[in-house]
Amino acid sequence: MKYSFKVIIALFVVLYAIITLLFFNFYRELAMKDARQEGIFILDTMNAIRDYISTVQRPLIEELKEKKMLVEDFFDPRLLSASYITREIYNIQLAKDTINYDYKLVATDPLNPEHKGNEFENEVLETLKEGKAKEFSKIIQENNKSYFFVGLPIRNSQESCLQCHTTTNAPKGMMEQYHHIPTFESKVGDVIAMLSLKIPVYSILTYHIKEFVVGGSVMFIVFVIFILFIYKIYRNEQRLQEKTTMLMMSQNRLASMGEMIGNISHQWRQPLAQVGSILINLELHSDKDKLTKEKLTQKIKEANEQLSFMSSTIDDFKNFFAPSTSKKEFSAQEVIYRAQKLLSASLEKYAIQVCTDIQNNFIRYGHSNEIVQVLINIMNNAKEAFLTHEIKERKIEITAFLQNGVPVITLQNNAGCIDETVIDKIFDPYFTTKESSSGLGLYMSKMIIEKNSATIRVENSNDGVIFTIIF
Amino acid sequence: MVDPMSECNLLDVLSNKKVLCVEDEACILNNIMESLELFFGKVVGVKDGVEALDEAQSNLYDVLMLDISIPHMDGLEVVKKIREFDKKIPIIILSAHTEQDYLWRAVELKITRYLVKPYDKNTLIKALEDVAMELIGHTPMFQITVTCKYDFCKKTVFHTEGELAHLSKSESRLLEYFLKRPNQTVTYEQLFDYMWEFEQPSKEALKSIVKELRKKIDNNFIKNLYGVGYLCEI
Repeated sequence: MKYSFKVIIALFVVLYAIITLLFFNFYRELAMKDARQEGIFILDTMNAIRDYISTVQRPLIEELKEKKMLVEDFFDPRLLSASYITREIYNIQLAKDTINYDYKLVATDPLNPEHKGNEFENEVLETLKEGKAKEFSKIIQENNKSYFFVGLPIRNSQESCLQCHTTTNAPKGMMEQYHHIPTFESKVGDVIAMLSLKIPVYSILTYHIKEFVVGGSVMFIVFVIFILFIYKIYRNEQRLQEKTTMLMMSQNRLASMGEMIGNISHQWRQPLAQVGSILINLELHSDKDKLTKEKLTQKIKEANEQLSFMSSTIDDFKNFFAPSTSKKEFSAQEVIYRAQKLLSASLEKYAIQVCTDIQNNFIRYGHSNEIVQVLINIMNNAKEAFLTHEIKERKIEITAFLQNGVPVITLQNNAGCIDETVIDKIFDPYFTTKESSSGLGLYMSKMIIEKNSATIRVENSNDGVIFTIIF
Repeated sequence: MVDPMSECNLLDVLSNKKVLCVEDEACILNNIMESLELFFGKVVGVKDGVEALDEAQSNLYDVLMLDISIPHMDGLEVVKKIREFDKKIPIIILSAHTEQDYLWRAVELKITRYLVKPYDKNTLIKALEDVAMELIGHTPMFQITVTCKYDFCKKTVFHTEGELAHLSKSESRLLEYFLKRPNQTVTYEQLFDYMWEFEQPSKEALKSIVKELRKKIDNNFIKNLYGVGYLCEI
């Protein structure tokens, strides 16, 4: 997996936070819109009640007065004052707990001092008076609490209103009650006051809490499922990667086994042919009765030499293949010599000259076989390069030295350079320029070198390639 | 196969022949040479391709035996060069290679045998017999004249009258050289090279061998070409 799992998760959390925020904001907006609608509806109802009082109730009282069924200067706000009646209706509602908002009538220079607005309310009233807006709504802060404020204008819609709201016409009872009657000095249809509601934002939101919770939970669940899904994919990927690595390891092991068996057969071919020729020679001499005792002894000695060479060869390979479980001390010279010996037959066959220069025979601690394997691998690659580039003078120089106190082994060949465009990729798995290659050799070499806490790098020289192993 | 071959050892044909053996491994070369010395008149061993080609060009050898993996020039390459000037010389290839590539190349070179190392005695004997057969043109008894036959194996001459004459090594060697080149001019130089190599050749010695052959076979079958050499009329 190219991106780390953590980055993806972090990205998801951020995304989730943004979506949740947007979601809540959206819900809040909706809730506010609902609240505004409701507030205006209530205020409209209030206005309608006011209209009823001024168009139906007051004219009826006047009629009763004219018919002398009521005294001429009868005045009772409970029957005549629209403001009073609407407030009372509000109070009843408030007492029943059916509403949780503050109702207030605001007027400039009102009869009832309670109807005096604060600075903000007066401002709103002015706006409405000027007719700039037909209604007003805004979220306001009061005593560190958020309120949703809705304001609706009251229009001086009826003649009957002017009756009381003029000093000259006001009934005696009213005069006694209020002492001072301010004049409206306005025409029918003018805005004279404002009805307002203050609804606590908190209550609006709590009203919608269920939707919030349900929506939020659904989103959270979806989010968790997504994360699980990604985690599952991530795990699968990880397992696949582990499997691939295992497969690569065994592929490479098989390949190097095959190569080693090839080397063994190279190494053995010559002594086998020699023993064969010795035996034929003996048999032919014996057939012709020309086999002397001296000849037989000499030939047996020759054959034995070959057999002991074969025996030591197979021991070398056996030691190389033996799984070394424990780390051991080994010297630079030892690993270089062993690698060279194991490859001696094919180096000889392809006339490759190997020059070793042990400037410092440093001692390292680790799996020497693995280092030998890497050296063999690099030399094998050089051999193949020699063949494909048809180089006549084939030379591999192996040098062990200390570079500023750091042990280094370099392998330099003159088998031609690696294309600069691919030189960075040669340690990648499955990268190969050869037809019959798994492309794992150098990758595994790098793995092995890194496992032995060393590093390997490659660079082109004039006529070949230098591999540098830094311990 | 009941024919004169059963009476004689075909490998005796080789007893007056010279073989060139090419193998880079000293021990193997040594053993092969020792083995071949049991059959051939003379065995020469060299270790690399260039040397082998040089030797073969000297035109003195009757049989070649080459390994493929030899330094400087591979065995098949050497054979290819030899075939440019000598189409007939029997060649045995020795090799550990059984790759198709090598076999294809070998087939085109008209070699006698391809021996895969390690080979056993019988394979080698069979190969040498093949070489012998090839050297005598697959006829162990050669009709030299109407009344005279030559036996390659026994190196003897039969006359219909029942007369039997044994030929010496140099006589048989010269005769077989002539028989291989019937009705062709054979110069003194060719014969000097073939018969004596680097030793000081003498015309007298040659003349005496020819004389002996005429005496033992027929007076007229070898004609003198004055100042040039001989011509064998068959």
